[in-house]
Amino acid sequence: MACPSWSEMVIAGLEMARLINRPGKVLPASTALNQSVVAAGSFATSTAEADHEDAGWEDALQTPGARAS
Amino acid sequence: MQSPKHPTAGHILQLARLSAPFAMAALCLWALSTRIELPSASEIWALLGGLKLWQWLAACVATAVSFWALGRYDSVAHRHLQTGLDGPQARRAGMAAIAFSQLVGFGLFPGAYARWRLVPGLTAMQAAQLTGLVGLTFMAALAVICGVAMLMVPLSPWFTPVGGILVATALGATVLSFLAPTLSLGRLNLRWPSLTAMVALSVWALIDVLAAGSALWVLLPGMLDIPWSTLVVVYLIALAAAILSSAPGGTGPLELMVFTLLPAQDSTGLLAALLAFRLVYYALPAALSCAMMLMPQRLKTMRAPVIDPDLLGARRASACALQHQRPCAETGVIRQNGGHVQSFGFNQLALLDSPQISVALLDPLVGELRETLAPLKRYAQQRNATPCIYKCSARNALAARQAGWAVLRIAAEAVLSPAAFNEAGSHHRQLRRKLRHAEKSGLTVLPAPTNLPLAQMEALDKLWQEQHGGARGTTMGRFEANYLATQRVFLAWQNDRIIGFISLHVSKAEWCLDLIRICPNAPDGTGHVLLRAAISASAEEGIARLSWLRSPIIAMQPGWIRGCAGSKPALHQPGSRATWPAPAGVKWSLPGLKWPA
Repeated sequence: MACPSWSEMVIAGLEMARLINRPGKVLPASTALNQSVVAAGSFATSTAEADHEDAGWEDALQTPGARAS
Repeated sequence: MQSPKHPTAGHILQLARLSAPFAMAALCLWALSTRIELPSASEIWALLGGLKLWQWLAACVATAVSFWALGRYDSVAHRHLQTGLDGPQARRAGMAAIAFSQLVGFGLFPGAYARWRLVPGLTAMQAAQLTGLVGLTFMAALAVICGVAMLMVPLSPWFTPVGGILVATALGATVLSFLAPTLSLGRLNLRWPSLTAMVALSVWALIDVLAAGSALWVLLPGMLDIPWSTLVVVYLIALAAAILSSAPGGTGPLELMVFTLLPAQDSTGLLAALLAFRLVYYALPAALSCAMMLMPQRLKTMRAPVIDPDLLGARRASACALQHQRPCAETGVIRQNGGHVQSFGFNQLALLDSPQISVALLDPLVGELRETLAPLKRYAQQRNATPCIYKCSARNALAARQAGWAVLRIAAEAVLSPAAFNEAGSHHRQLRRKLRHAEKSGLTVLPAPTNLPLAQMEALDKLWQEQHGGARGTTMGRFEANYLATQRVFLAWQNDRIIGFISLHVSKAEWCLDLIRICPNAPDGTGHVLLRAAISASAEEGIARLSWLRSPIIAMQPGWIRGCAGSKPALHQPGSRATWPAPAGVKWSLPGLKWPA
């Protein structure tokens, strides 16, 4: 386990313990049924997806101070 | 239908709400006039004229420091609300908003208006949320600071108990916010600021009020000899009263509280200092903020484009973007737990965002960890969270340490090579006995069909949870149908009934054990048979590594793994990708193989 500082390590350790021992609801793997394409192991499974990823890059480059999502 | 000419109860209430701050100011000023003998204007001007130039300049510097801290404070609030607008312009807008609203009063509206006008891209709703958040958290931070100050400088006997209550309440609220990060009020879900954000907000608020108090102290006429610590404590309490009152500029409550807490001081000198403070700390910033609001375009052209080099090329993809070809199969847990694939340039991490931390699970999916350290830190900073890397390999832990990160060894990973697995030998006799027991009881283990028998599996999971007090979460898988559909599952059958199953994360080169669910009355050795089936299947498919678990270091005990891996066990040190032989004379065990009876 690694953190930038020991004080942050304390926070991270406590939070990991909370997340593991007091989990909330099970979050459904909503996209899991599409995993067959993931299992095929390609980076971009369709042209549309690749285009979408490129758009993210362009947003990140062109929007000052904005985070690509 | 109500005629618009006749005032309704709503109109009256609105009028009362708008006039309340003025009434409060008037009431406090009246109370002040009864407490002190108001000096003449000429006396005040004479005292103001007696202030040295350096005093004015020093007060201006302290004011600048105070507003700079307030701008930083606004940045933290922006990050909490994830507006993506925490840059210099947002900071300037925050300063202007506070300068404007502290002069005008009326709580939420002036600040929200100023922020909305000065920050392009900020919606009116976001501006209102931001102003509300800044107001509430500043009050909370001020309460903590006041509490500590009252304990440290008890000017009055009631300071100590009140300060103690404030500090204890703040600590209690902090613990509560950690344990329950979201406060639900009906349909409204409020997220507490993270611990990191709380610390940051407290520090910026402290700098702000200390600088403001110092500005007041430095403007005291020569006739007044009030220690800096005393005046700052008095100012803190007076400021809290002024904010609570919502009076325009805090006029009235601030002065009344200062005179109440410093009754022995010369009232004329104190009033002159307060007036000078009003000029420097209130009027001057308010004038600047009004100019900024009149010409918001001017502010935009002054702004240089901001590009964060650390986050260039950062993008977020859903967990379904996980590649089959990835170093750690266990990264599959992010499919279930709200994690995502975060790219920083050509590097990819399996990332999980929680209220307090942004944690990268295991080793990078693609690329080098050392190249993701700075972007991860910046990414976490943008959401007021602590960056963390969890369960990384020794090589990457070393890279993090070399980059100045604190590294803690927490677990050891137990792995075996399926191709080298061998049940023969005297030291495997216990294992063979377990397997025989299971086989004699008519147990059959089969790979699960594509359409999983979910009803039976869910019933078994419930039974298992009842016995074990529920399943854990986050890096531990939990029973969920779609999640299991992405995994390799083995079922243990007895008399057409499922009495146990295991699931494994799969990647191209590695399988990793995830869920183990065994019926409480299953025959002895059920788990062993399930695991042997997984080992055989992985060997047939040419999988190089089978990861059983990452166990806390202190839990490692003598036992079984040596038997699994043969005479030269391929054990990984905590998270290490390089294989290490077991120390001489030490056998390693898998707690997960101690099956429930």
